[in-house]
Amino acid sequence: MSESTPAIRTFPAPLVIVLTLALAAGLALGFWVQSGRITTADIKATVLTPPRELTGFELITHLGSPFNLDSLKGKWSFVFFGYTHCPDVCPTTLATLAQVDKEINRTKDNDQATQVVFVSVDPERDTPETLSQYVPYFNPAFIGVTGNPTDIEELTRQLGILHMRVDRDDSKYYLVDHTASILLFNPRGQLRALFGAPHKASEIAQDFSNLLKI
Amino acid sequence: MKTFVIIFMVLLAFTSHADTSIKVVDPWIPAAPPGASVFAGYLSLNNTAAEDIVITGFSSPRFGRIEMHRTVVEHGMATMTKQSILLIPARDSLKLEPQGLHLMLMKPTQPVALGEEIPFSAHADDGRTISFEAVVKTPTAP
Repeated sequence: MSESTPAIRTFPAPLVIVLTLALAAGLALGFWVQSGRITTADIKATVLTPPRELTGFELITHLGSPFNLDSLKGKWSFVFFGYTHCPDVCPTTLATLAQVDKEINRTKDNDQATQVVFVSVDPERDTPETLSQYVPYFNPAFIGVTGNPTDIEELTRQLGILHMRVDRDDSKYYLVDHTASILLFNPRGQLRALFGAPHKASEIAQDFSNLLKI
Repeated sequence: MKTFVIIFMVLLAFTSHADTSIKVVDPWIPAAPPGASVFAGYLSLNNTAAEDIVITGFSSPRFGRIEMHRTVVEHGMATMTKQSILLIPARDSLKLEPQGLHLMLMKPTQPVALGEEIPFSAHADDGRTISFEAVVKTPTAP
């Protein structure tokens, strides 16, 4: 019985070198291309893939104009749910959003139109008039939104926004527990990302910038 | 002579409460939008004494009602829990800051203006009162 010949012939040395170089080049190119690509792993916010669709709702802005699904289209929207009798979380978050707005507008490659919307979870006390004194204070372009409780509920229900009135001895000063996340809607009016508390303006601005690249 | 000694001892007993053992550091109020009826107050309380200090409340001629609260964000939801006391451990400090412990200032007697210094008193459970002024500053992102 004859010896079985080796199944693999020995490759000539130059060919081995060329192949190794080609492999190395291929790997390097792969890493280079991959490192420039942004994925959801680079983003601290919770990104919804696919973005979540909303159904209609009818609310009103602090200027008395309608605020509905169409109002969320055509630009990116940062939306926060709160109330004006909130001493700590709401003013702090609105101040943060004012800072986010500044940082986004500072970066030239962020060519996308944005808006910031504050939706009240306390429509009993937060009338359009109340909101018109409160919201623009943080940034004149910010939009305050309110409506009747059922209509507010229609929006919060879809988004999983929780809010609960906490009555106290002085009924005028009741508190409202509420979801503290900042929601980001894309220009199609779909929910794209959620920024959890505590909020850091520079992180939100960076996340937004990265989201535009995905 | 005895009366004098007794009076002296009583007065000495009062002075042994070193009021400098509680220091209020950097008290401030973020300016709020016009027409705001509720404000937040933030500050640090430093306790240099060997005993814990218990603060039972705050008062001010500028606010009809002041409560102490803690903001808690749990499962994404923000809630405020009223605190009946603030405990400052011995040789330690307690910080009231945005999204944490804070004063809830209600029933302002007049509008609160940026740059104003508003007088406050912190009340300890041993009867001591610490007076300080909080400055109204532009609200900033933390």
